[in-house]
Amino acid sequence: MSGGLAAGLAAAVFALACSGPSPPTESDDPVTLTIGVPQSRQLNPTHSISTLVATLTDERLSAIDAIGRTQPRLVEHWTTSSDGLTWTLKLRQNLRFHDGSPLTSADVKRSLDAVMNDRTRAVASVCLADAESIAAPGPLEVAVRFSRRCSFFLDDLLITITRTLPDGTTAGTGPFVLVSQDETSCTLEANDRYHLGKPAIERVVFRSYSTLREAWAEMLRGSVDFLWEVGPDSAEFLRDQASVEVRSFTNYYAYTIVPNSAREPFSRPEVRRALSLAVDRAALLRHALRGQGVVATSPIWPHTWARKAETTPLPHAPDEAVALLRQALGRPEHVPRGSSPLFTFTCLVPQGFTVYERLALVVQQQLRAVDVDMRLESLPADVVNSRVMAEGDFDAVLLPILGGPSLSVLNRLWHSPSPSPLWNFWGYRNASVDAALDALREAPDEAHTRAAVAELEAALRADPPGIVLVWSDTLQAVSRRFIVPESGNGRDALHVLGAWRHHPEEARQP
Amino acid sequence: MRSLSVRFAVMLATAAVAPLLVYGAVSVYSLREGTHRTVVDGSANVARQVGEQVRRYVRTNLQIFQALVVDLANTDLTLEQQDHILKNFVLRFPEFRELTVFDRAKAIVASSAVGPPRLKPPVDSVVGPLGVAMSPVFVDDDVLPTSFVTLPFSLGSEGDGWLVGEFSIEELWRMVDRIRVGDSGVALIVGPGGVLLAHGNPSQRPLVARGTKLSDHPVVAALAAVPGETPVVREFRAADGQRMLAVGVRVPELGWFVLVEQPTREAYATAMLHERELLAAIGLALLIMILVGSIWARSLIRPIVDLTAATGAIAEGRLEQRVTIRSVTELSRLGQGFNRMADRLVELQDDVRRQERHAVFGKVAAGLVHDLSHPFKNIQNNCRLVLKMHDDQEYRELFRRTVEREFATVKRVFEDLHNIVRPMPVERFPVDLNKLAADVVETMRLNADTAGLSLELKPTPEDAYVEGDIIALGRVLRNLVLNAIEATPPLGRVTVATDTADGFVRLQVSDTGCGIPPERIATLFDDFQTTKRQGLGLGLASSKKIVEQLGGTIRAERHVAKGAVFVVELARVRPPRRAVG
Repeated sequence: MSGGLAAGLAAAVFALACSGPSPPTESDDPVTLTIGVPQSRQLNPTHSISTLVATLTDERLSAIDAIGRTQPRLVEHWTTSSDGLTWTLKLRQNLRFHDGSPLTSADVKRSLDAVMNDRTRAVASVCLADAESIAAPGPLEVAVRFSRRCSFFLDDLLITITRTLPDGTTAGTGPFVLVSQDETSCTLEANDRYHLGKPAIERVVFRSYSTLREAWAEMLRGSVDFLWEVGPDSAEFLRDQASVEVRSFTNYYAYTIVPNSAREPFSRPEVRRALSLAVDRAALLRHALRGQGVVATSPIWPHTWARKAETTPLPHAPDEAVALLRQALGRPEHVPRGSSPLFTFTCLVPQGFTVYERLALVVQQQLRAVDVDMRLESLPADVVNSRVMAEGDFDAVLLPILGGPSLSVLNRLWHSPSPSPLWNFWGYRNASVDAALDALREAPDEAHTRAAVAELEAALRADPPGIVLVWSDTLQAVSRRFIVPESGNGRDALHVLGAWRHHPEEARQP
Repeated sequence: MRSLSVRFAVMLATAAVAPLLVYGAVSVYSLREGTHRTVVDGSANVARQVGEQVRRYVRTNLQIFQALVVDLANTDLTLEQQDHILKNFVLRFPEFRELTVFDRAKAIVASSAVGPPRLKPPVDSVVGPLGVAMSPVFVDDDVLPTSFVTLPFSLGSEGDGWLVGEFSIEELWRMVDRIRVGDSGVALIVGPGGVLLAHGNPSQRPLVARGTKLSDHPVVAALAAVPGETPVVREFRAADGQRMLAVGVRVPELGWFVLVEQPTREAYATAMLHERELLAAIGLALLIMILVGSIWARSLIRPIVDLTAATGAIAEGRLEQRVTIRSVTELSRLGQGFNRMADRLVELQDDVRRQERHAVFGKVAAGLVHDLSHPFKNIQNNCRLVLKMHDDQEYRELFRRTVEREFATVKRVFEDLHNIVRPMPVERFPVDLNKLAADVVETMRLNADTAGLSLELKPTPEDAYVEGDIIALGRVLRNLVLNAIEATPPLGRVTVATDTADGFVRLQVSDTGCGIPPERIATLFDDFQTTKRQGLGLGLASSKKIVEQLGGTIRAERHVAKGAVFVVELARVRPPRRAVG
């Protein structure tokens, strides 16, 4: 998802999230977790308080674990018919919205219908576009009939189920309820009716900070318990604080220079492959992210269960890249390197973020070594969004591109034709990739899924849609007053906040 | 003998313990001083090394910055070329996060930034090493230590300008992070104005982020007050109450200070351990010395103690006491001599006892012969006469009285003798001494008449009852009267008087005889002592035993010129109530 899109959506969700129902009764001394959200130039701009709040207030039908497998959440279990076309979902008993009203199959059907019928929301679903019918045969049972087999349906269940209240606000079913909000903070309280039990943390307060330094200072003063994201530059010096545990997980997006396939010479697979060969990803990771991440080998999220654990790294072969480029561009081979650029293009870079700037500079230097002149145009994120998605006026753009955790995201991004101008706006087309994605979509079991993913990865490496660079790590700092469960290892600790425990023996720092 | 032990202990203390204690005190002092110097020197060396590393690090980067200026100055490079150089430069030297060139009007000429540069021409920089102006170090929004560096240069035909760099001094933090003195000793870097730039304790890093000033730190204050390269050493109490040892040095060129802090408890831990070991060794040596000295002193003093005890025993008459001294020294020979002396004393005592027995036996035999020969002679003579005059009624009566009297005398002698050897038990009844005295005077009047004396009785008009045995007291009074009669020449007078005073009844027998020589007074009541020329001398001894058995006293008073007075005092009791009817 692009930064502009994320920012827009985040603002909308924040507005919705912070207009929740009236607060429940407070206890005298609630266990409170204060979450600091810094707005740092080191960080990716795709996250905002609103999206984080929604994570806690709106429960999804299913959830994703640390290796990308779908786990039941509001749905207790599911079955498929022998032909694989009918899915029957069984909801948990005693599910209730924050206002106390019960969640039934009718609510789920209404949400799935909305996704299926709303073209804007349908971009979030791969399978529902092929749904023939959605029925609620029982109060806790939902049956979906498809016209074609679709193994991504479990990923489609990652949608949240909410109910619009008479006052126009929405009620979710998540572990926390939004009770108040102002310009810089949101307060949530534990949901007594949460189906997995009331969380041990009774109150959550989100606070926004203009700088990481400000947020970190507040954490060291004991005013903040959980720093949602710290930048890679600071990680080295923040890790060794005795009162704080610094955790990390690999983000679901890879920093990628996405070329516009509609423009020359990027329509040629050889050029895209040559550019990919020209990049030294290890150096990128070292210089731009200070080692806080994973070198990308393909656009597929490296930790997904369906992918082979050991994958050959993408080679750094500048000589081969030059040869490929000269061949693709019809340039004579005897011309010495460095005399003149083979071609020049402009890469749009979202403005104001150190990570993007460093990545762009290092890639620029590395491409210069293969006689490619990548010029950098730093623009505000909304301008980049407009140029890229609305106008299509770009040679290339540096963006974080999703690669997981669910496999359906790969279908949305790389299958042609694109289901929406919000996905694959760069016009990538490759028959092998489409075939592999189709096989993945119709995979009847895990073995077929693994085979399809391997096929897809091979096709994406042979014809890379862009210069996939690195998967960055998100670093989070948690006060030792709280204990994050093991289920939070390798993933965003916020996603398991309902299972956090308070460590009463650890006092706040003065 | 305790004083001898004390003296011996004092001798030991003077000879061995005191020097050992003095040695220990000197050693502990030397150890403390040496350790203090070593710790301070070590910390100062660490501080100097850190300071030198900091100086080199900053200087090297400023040289790099200066080299960039050389590349840009007077070259008339195009803006694109300058931009290219700056971007390459920040990639090669990541300490410089951004580099921007400003012209004379402070407008941006070129920058390494991809977008709009963040840097501005600094206004508060001071010229540092190599002529590069450095702003005060601060912690930027991404929690990293940063300084803006500026150097003017010529832009060629464009005129003069400035190169401004964002200099990330992260390495400063890494340097102090790597420094550990002991377990918890850390290094600090303090900038101008006492601003804390780096702290080796990660948990104290928020102090850096807050721009904390350490102007009041004793070492910082001392370094700021006195210029020079000499390390400053201070001990102080930290905010958490812990005593700290801090050593500070000045970083050349930069004017910064490097401090090395370590808790004194930890800094001197080794010395304290050695000190404890030394004190333990000295204590152990003292203990062993006292123990050995004590054992040795005991072996030396024990024979003297034994000899002293044995001498005391001999003095108390326990002549069987001997000493055993095993050591082959003069003391052993002294012990042997003592034992021989004791053996000889036993022999001498046996001889004396034998001679005493012989003397007593002779005296008793002579006394018996004397005391019994007269009665028996009288009886013998009267027996002869009775054969001739048995028809004479009057003589027979005289014979009967004479025999009875003489046998009474014999009986009394035997009773006295028996009473001396084994005192007879006495009965306790109220006895009227007036009546007893009258009876005795009456019975002894014939003896007095025979001796040509007058025997007078002077009873007290008051009741003179005592608790006693009337027979035993009669024997005492008869002995005293008889002695008085025998000691008084004819025409003399013997007086028996009773008196009461202070709860006592006093019985007094006085005579007008020759009196008692002073040298005899003390032994007058001993066995076989007599003032008479012959006789057993048991009367007074027997009398004394009887009086003492009754709880009274008997004494003789000296009246050599006027005769002798014997006084018996017994506790006075109420007269018994007479039976009615």
